[in-house]
Amino acid sequence: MSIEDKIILKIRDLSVSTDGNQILNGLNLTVKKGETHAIMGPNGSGKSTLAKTVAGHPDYLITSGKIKFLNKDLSSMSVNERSNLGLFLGFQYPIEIPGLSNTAFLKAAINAQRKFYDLEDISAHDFLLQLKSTADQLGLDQSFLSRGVNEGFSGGEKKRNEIMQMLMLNPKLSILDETDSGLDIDSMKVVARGVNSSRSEDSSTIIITHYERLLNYLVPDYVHVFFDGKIIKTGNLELANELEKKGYEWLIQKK
Amino acid sequence: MVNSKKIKSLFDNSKLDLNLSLSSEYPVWFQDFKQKSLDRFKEHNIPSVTDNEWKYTKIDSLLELLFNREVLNRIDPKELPDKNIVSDKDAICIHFHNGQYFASSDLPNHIKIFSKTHDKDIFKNLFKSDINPQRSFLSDMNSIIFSDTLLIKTLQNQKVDTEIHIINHSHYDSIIAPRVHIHVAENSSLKIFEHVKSSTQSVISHLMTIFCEADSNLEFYKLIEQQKDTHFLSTQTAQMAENSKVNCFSWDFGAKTSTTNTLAELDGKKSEFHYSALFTPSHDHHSGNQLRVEHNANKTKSRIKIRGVLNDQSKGVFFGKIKVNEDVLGTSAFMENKNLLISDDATISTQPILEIYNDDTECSHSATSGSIDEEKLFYIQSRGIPEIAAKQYLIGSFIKELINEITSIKIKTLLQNNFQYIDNQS
Ligand SMILES: Nc1ncnc2c1ncn2[C@@H]1O[C@H](COP(=O)(O)OP(=O)(O)O)[C@@H](O)[C@H]1O
Ligand SMILES: [Mg+2]
Repeated sequence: MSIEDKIILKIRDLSVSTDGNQILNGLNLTVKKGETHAIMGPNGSGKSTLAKTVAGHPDYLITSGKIKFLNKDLSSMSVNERSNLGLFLGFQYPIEIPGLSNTAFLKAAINAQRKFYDLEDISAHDFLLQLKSTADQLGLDQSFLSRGVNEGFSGGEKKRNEIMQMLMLNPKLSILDETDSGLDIDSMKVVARGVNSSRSEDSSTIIITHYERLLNYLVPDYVHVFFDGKIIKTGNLELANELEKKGYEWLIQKK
Repeated sequence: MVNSKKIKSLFDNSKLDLNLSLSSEYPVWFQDFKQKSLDRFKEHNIPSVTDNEWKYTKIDSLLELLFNREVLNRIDPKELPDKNIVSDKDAICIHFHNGQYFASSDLPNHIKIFSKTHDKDIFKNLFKSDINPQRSFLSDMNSIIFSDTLLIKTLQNQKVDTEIHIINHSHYDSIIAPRVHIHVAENSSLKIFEHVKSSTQSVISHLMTIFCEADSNLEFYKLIEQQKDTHFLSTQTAQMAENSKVNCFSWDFGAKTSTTNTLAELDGKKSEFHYSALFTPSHDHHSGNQLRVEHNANKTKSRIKIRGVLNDQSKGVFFGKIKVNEDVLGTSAFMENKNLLISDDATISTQPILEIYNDDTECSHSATSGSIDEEKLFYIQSRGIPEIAAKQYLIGSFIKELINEITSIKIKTLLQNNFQYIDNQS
């Protein structure tokens, strides 16, 4: 296997603006198969902007640089194609869609992915079996499945629902944007277990978080510090521990 | 009114022969009725687009179709549909083709069809010129054109569980006037589904009257599927006695002109009128919805939910008025119009009006219009679902509330099949 084949995500010199404001400023990041990366950094430093840009949100304009996912240029790819290829974004603020049931939504998502790979629709039986066991694994009651997508869910329930979607879609790269924010310890453990269960040699995860807590469960290969639209320092779990104690100030000043 | 030219002026140049000299099978009073309707129709002003009822409609095209011809309909026997279309065994199906009775299941006693009935006098009261309280352009137009009539009239205490399906087809270049009279007798109930399927270049002038006696109950569903160059003009009235209840649902897909004019008179105390309507025009179609509810007795209740989904360059109109009379107590009225514009070129004009002359009224009304929520769209797409389907899901979720309120499983299924993205999980 060549080195290129091992790379899942390669971001080079990425600059992104929204509403005329430059948010990302020449960002570089390479994620290889099987790796887990953590991104930490102060509010407003552009972490969600990075996540949404990779997923293809129309509000974010790439002004320079390149994003390659599985060695394919993402810039001309639709949001759904990126997902079909194996990209998953766990939203910082999952969206509520009343009137579209969780179950129908997930089934449509899975079938869209299968269609992309020229596979037939999943059988109702297999789908329900998989859905039930995933919901059980995440401690989501069956009643959530028939409710509207995220409709009236608590913060924690929404985040578990994101992880449920991730597990059902079985992505190659998951970007989890503050999936641990607002979770109590038990919920966080459930989420961490969910993420851990999805890890494999072929898939990778980027965790955007403010807390070392989750990282202690997941043990990332790299911890990046994000500031002003780029990565200013990279280390390992120890860096996360240090950030937890000292905050970000010392790093920013040193810079 | 700016345009005060009368219909009469169009008739002068028209080659149209309405053929009012009907065969001798038809009683004299019927011929009288036709003649009177024609005389009255001629006295109407030519509709004006400044009128709410005609806003955004293509009147010129309508009038041209109406008057620029020699006969209303050419019936070509070769074009008749297959008589075996009556297949649904769980429902009573009645087919009209080009406005004339065509085929049906065996008809029970409570259903009468004018052209089939020997004793035509049972229809006499219905054709008194003042039966329809909206003596409008629309109702007079129906009266001069129609050639057959359906009367559904229950007996006291008769609960009819079998759904009645009325199917109206038309074919190319026809002018038809379906006419349905529903009389729900004391403490009886009915379920009716009407499906209008128009063909190119046709004009459909539809009239329906509902009369509900005390303690009666009517469920009515209507699906209007149209061709793009059809003109569909509909007028419907409901007169309701004490404790009666009407539940109405309709779905209009829009046409060159599509206008539905509804009047509900809550004359008996504790009567209830529930009306839900969906309109989903696309292309350069039009869909107009005029509605008037009059609370004329104590403790009456109205629930109006109107939703529009407008695509392309289509235009929609909602004009709704709820009136509560001065001496009426304990009214509960609710009127809501929500619109989803899925194209930048679509237009909606909405005007919910309350005219309340008594303080002892609990009422609310609202009207909102918006476009597809971009964040919802992104979220759905981010799970691999293509944009077109994602939009359809959002439209489905927008109209689902109304579909969910339909109690007839059969009709709900039929509508869901019509629109694949309404997810049928509740
Ligand atoms: N859609 C948007 N429109 C305008 N400004 C935005 C938008 N999204 C993000 N921003 C701005 O970009 C900056 C970075 O935001 P974000 O990426 O959400 O940061 P983080 O996730 O690191 O907290 C902030 O100043 C925010 O106000
Ligand atoms: Mg963020």
